[in-house]
Amino acid sequence: MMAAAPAQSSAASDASPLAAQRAHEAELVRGSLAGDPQAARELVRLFHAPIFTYVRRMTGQAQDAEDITQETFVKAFRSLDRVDTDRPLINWLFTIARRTALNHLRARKQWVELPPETASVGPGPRHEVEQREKVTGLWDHARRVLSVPEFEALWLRFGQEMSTEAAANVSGRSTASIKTLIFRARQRLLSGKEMYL
Amino acid sequence: MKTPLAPSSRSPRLTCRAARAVGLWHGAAVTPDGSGWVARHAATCPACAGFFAGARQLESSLRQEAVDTPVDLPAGLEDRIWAAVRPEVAVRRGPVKHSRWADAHWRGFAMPALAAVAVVAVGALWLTRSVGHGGDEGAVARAPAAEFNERDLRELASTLGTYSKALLVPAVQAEEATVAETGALEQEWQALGQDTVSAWKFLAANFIPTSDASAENT
Repeated sequence: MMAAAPAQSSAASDASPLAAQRAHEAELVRGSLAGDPQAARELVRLFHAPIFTYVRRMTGQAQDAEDITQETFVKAFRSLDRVDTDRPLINWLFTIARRTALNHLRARKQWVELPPETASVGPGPRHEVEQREKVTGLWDHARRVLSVPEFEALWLRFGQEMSTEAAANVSGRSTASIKTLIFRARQRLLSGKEMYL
Repeated sequence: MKTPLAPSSRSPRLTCRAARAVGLWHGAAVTPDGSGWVARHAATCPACAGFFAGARQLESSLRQEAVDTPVDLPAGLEDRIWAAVRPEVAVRRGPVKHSRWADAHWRGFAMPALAAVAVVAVGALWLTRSVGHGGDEGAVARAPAAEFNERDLRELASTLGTYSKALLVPAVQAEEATVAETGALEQEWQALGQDTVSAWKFLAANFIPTSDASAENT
């Protein structure tokens, strides 16, 4: 089974298909809050794949990604009454998934998040683990050579097709910070071809 | 003898480096036929034009690979997530756990409603005593006043307080509920109870006749 990651950009939030999707999500949230198992199951069905994909891309490890995804949904349902249904639900879930992954991997010393100003210092402990993994494809290469914040910004922006603003909201950073991280990520990925700075 | 510095294809000129940095910052969407000084530079510099073409190719490849080579989902992942989530949904169906929305909803209505009950109780007592001071009906009207005394009012206030706690504070606390919120609510109720008792004492001191006064009336 393959995961298709839906993309929801804040910039396109006024488009009618997205508005209809937002209304559907709000309906499912209300149903879940009322204890409707079908609505809750539908939320899981709709969003488990993009959340797993996001976490899997970030961690590079399937087992961790599965645990984190499950924990993400449990946390989300516990605080479902606080969700803002005017915003894309997936972005809220990404935020929870990100925090959950951070906690999960920090405990295992596999995720060292650096502030944006120092994000390009070099690979952290997580990369040492990843060095042992087989690297295939551009995204795997990116995860190997980029810092975690750089990779995350790049994935949200191009893997999830989010706007810079939406990526900033999900990751809890400023838009300037996201732009800086993506700038550095591009530099790193392109530096294999040519040194220019 | 020193070797003179010579331009190198691996070390672009300062203008090229600046153009590439600015171009990347703006999203690698620079094309030679675009506008702005970076685009104008790219139009005259094949190396930079090639660089920006590579940057655009990188973005395109990242996007394409995210779509074309999605992550394999573990078999049964959805079912396992649902199994973990289902108890949370089941709890919501139960009568005990209140949602935050429900808590806020009840706080909004219950506080004034319960305060109104207390005021009505005090008001009823006042009216009873007022009627009791009048002529021949006094003997009949004083009977209820005697049945509803200060102790009764204290019990009423206490009951209201207990009821409010049961109603407003969910039996199953949300894990993120702050102690400060609950403390503020309890303080408010305590203040309400104290105000009610104070009102009763004021009424009792000024309008409820003592046993001597009652004896005088009879």
